[in-house]
Amino acid sequence: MQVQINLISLLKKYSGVGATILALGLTLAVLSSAPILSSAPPFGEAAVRAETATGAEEPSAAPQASVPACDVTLTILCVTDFHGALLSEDKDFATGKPVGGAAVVGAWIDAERQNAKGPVLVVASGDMMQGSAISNLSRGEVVIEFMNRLGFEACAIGNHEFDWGVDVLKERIRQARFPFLAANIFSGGGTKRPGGILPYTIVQKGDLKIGIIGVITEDAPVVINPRSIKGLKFQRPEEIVNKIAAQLRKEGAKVVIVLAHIGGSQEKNGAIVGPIADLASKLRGVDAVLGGHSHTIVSGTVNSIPVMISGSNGIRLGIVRLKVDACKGGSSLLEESVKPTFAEGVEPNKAVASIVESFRKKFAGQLDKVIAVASEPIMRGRGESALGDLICDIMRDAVGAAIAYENSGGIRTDLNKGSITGGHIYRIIPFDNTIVTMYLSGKQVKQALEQGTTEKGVVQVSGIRYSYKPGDPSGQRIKSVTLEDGTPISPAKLYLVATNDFMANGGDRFTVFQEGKKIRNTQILLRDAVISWMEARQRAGKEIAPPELGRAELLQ
Amino acid sequence: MNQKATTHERIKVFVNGKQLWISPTFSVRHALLAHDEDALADVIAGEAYVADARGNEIGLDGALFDGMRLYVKSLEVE
Repeated sequence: MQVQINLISLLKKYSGVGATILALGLTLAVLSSAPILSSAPPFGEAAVRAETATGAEEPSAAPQASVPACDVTLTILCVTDFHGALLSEDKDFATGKPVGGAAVVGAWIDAERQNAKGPVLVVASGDMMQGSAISNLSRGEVVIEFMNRLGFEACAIGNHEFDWGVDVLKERIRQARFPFLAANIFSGGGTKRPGGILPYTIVQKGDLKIGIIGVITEDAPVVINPRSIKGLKFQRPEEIVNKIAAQLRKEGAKVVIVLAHIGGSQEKNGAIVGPIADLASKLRGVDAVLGGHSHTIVSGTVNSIPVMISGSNGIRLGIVRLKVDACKGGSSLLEESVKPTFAEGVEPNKAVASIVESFRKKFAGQLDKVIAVASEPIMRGRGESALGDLICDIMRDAVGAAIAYENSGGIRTDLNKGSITGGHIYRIIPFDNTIVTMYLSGKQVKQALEQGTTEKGVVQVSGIRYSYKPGDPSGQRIKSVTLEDGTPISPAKLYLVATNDFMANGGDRFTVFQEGKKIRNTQILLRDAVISWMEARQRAGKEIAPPELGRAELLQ
Repeated sequence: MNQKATTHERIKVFVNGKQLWISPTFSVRHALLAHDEDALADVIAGEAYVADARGNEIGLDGALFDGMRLYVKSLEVE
């Protein structure tokens, strides 16, 4: 099977104000298994547009219906924020019926293709990969296989696409038979494109040329690990979209779609609010805006433009049907709906089910893979524990914090002597908690210890030593606090602190963390940090030993 | 409304009408946690769900935006 990729605008640069600096005509024919931009390594400076003659692979596409030359019904199917939900156990809240799962989503897409009275475009609005064990263990590879098989034709870059770092994203971009789009991400000080990520694509469906522009929330840097986006700038999207939309029209696009990893919601009266509404209200020459990021369900219009957000996790499929004048351009809305992907009564897509099953089997084995060796048992406990100390040390190390806190209840089992597998770590830290950083004053550092000290146990820490009397009244239990080198904590001084997102939001009554300065969810899963740290120890030929106890001194 | 999160340490989010100030780096899950830990537990247990003003469910990992309104709805009541 072959995909035609017409890289008309290789090295064309878009400055943010729409200037075209250089255009080269170049057509590449690449095998479907080859990188979509084989000549442009992702995150180098690259081509700005891929033009597909037939869209991506269309393994189950129905024959295109015969339509009058100028009157075309275009069906756009959108999945957003799929988050690796390949084996969904979700139920529709309204009916209680099972929904979602990759093979079921595939069946719904197949059915829409079969029934459509014109061309069908299948797209995604970002955050497709991160979020389930199979997807996370394969670093998103299985999701891209799923999308390739179903013939997705474009995907906006979401913030979670950066979760495993730039190198993994580059791999996924190479693997994908569709372009990843983000017109408002720039490199090189804000004037160049990060290679591999394209601002837009053009898909040709018969005589109809469809322009697709991708954008991401300009606030993405606050929800992406800074290490993953070093050197990248995220700009306001609306002006960029308007410039590209005008350019696409000049190039013959009769329909222009925006895939926006930008959220919003809908009021009781149907009004769409939030950043997606802000964006749509400022756009010109755009036929539909398909959003994401907020996991909401939105279906309406802003500025006479259909605006949709189709939920999350594959439990809904967004459908926009447009009547398009393929001769003069212009469109009118025929249908806009966000449908539950009910599993009952549909025949799951067998090819997709096979892909998911093969990865499930593959990673069932990976959970048994030895990642490190413990020199002796490392125990958890409600008091200070060696495993709690170790996990806090790793948490602190992962983000460069001075102090770390972890609730004892977040550590669910002990670490036995001998081989440690990924499965062990999943059992020790089953919750998908991320590491959060913030600045706390010395007074607040002590307050966190007070809130974590009861007669039943203490909070696990790293970077500090303290003494306590659990039987004393609340607020008077902590008797002394120093840094690990013995330096007393200064009440007014600010310290960079790490904790998990559960505690940072007041879980286990840790209200002090909500008062921190510059709170930042790093999006680094604590479990991933522990696995990475242990793998590094293994590569260095070192066993995992329990830290020496003595951080929390119990006074009688 | 819709002030940029990058310029604010906290954004305003409403859960069942109660105003919360929360870091823009957090999600719906965290807004519930800050609002009422038991409500989050109910949602995780499948006994309640988070909805928008129209009653459409919202995923726990969804991003927040300034001015967003969330409602925790019991499935039993529904």
